[in-house]
Amino acid sequence: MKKFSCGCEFHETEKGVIFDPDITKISLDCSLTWDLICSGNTKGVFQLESQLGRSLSEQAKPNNMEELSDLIAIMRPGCLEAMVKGKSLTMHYVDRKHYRDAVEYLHESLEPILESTYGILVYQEQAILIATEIAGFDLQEADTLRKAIGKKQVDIMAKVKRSFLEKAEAKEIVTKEQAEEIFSWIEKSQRYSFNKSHSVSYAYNSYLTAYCKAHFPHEFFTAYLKNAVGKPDTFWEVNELVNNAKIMGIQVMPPNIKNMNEEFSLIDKRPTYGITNIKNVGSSVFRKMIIHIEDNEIDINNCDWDCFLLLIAPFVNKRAFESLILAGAFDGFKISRSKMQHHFNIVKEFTKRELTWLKEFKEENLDATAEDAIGRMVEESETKTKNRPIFRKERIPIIADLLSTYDNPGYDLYDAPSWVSKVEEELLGISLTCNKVDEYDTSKSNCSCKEFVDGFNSKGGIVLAVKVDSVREWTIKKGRSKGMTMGFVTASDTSCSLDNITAFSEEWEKYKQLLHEGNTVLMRGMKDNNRGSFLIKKVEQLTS
Amino acid sequence: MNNRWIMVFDWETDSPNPNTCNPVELAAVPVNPRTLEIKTDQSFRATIRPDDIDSEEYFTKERQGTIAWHAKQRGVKTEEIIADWKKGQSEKVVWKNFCNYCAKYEVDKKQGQWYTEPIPSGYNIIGFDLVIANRMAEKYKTKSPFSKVTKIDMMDILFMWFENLDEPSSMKLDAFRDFFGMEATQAHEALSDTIDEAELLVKFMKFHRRQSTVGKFKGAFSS
Repeated sequence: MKKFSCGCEFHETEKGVIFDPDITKISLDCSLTWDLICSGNTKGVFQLESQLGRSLSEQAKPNNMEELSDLIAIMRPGCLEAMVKGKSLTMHYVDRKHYRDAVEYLHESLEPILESTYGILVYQEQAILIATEIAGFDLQEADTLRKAIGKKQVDIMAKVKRSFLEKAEAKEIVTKEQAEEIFSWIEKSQRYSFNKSHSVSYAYNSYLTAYCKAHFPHEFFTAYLKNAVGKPDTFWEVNELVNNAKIMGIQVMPPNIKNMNEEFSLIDKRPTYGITNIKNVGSSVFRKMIIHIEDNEIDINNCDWDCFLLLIAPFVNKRAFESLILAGAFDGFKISRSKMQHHFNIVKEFTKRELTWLKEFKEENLDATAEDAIGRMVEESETKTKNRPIFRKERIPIIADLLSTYDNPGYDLYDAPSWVSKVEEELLGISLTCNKVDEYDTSKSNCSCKEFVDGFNSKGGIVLAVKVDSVREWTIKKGRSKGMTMGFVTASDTSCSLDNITAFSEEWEKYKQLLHEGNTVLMRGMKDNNRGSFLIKKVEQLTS
Repeated sequence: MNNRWIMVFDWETDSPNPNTCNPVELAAVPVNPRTLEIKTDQSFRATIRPDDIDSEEYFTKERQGTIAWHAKQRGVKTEEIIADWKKGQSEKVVWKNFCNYCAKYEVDKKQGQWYTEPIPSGYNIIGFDLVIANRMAEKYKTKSPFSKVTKIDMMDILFMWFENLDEPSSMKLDAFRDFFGMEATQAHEALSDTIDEAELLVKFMKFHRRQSTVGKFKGAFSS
């Protein structure tokens, strides 16, 4: 049995844990699952995966299915846009739930209907019940109101309003003004407000996905990464998921040619990129490589880089093969990507006839390096041991030159982190093995992004060495800084990405020159204990 | 805000005409656009063998003059210069390696940044080095490794600062080296020249950055 701290148990076999994703069979009060939801770690969780969903999960902290259903309903635009006393109904719900605001009812008769949602009109069913209670609507009239709310029919809503106000006046439970205010609630919530049955069924799905994420995060991320391929912006989705995995301490592995997995797969208990998850590498290239590997009887676990360079590279799409190198698929050979790219660039210069000769030579001499093979080709052509020369005489100096630059093209073939991270972002959607910031002197930082997420704090302040990923300028709409601008920054280091960095107007004005996409900076600041965000106090340019 | 790398580069050639010369040496050094650090550890340097250097016809009067000039600058014999060039790699191989090298310094294409290639820089690049680079790109059917729009020619920048003054006496790089008190350890050796040019560029860029942050440019010319 595999046991979890929450008490959940699963049968374990040689193939792994047996899990039946049947909502009727899993515990609905699993602390691991509710903790995950309340922490806002809901990327990939049904209905709660957006930035808003994550933020509201953390703020509302639902602890049972009823509250989870409420959360899903209050995230809808109806509640978010309905402003009462300068605050959305969503935030009223959150503040009332946590006793920051008192629960108020427009009229005591509404209490039994709205008690479970802290006096906030959340569900369509509640609107119908109010109409029945306040205006004495019969079932047919209540159904008309339901249709008007559900189908957003403005003309029918206007008719229902007249009827509601007349009947409420006649019933005399509330005053005319109160009746008008109550109906205005109903009208505002008409836009996208949820019916409870719908919300509850969504909540069950949310719980189920959160349950999977809490208990089987490796499998969860593998499945979601695989599924990201069908999303409109695949790389954005992959980036979010990989970053979330990093925060949960799960390392997503770069593609590895030795695995030869086509799509995202769970390999050695780690979510691992598939070959076709690399930009520019499609299924046809993957299949072609498989055919070449089989035809040439290459043992991919024991062959060397030169095997791929001479037996496979010349016969697949050049751009795809280069992308494989740059994405790190050949890193297992322990040669720098720059060097492999350079070797591939040399091979690209050969003619078809020369490549065929090199391939045949390598097949006959599996231990020979590509450099040996090219050298031998030049020798054989010069000595003309074959009836027909391998290449024209004019090619000799060119090939000899290519050979002479095999290990020294005029520049150092080392992988600068700024370059590796850039190509990984381009080809994999996120830099997996390093970050641009690794190229700079980060000794002044006292905390990594992951450590910050995990709760690091220091009296002397927090110092992060990060690469700025994105910046959003925001004009302050109220308060003493009205009209001034502030900045919201997303930044990363190798450990993970932080999307909740704030520069208030004073700091933003001072340091916005440095806070631009792609720049590497040292951020000094502190943790906002309420929101968990990083507040910038000072920014410095990072140097080598 | 510029994010594109600045690639300071320099050709040494066997004649002063950029349209007909054979390049004999190419060097480049990238400058980090944000920190203005000169990445000498990431430099490029290659010696190029002129195509017909093994034939007698190669040694025209003009070329012999250039070879003698190179020998004088480096304090070596002309034979040594010729031997050095003969040991070089072919023009095509060097050019392609250089293009691959520059490609590593391309930045991501994004809104407001359509040109991703490094910004070419150096001394008199518009009139000389870029002419050769464009010739090579055309000859070997490669795309230009540099930004087609932005270029920083240090000669132009220095001209704008000193055109109204008596000193320095000429617009040659050597004259500016003397004027600024820079030591010329290996003048007219491509990589050494490139690093000197990069240092000059960085000094002026830092100077410009200081000025542009204290000066009030916005609306300064409005009537």
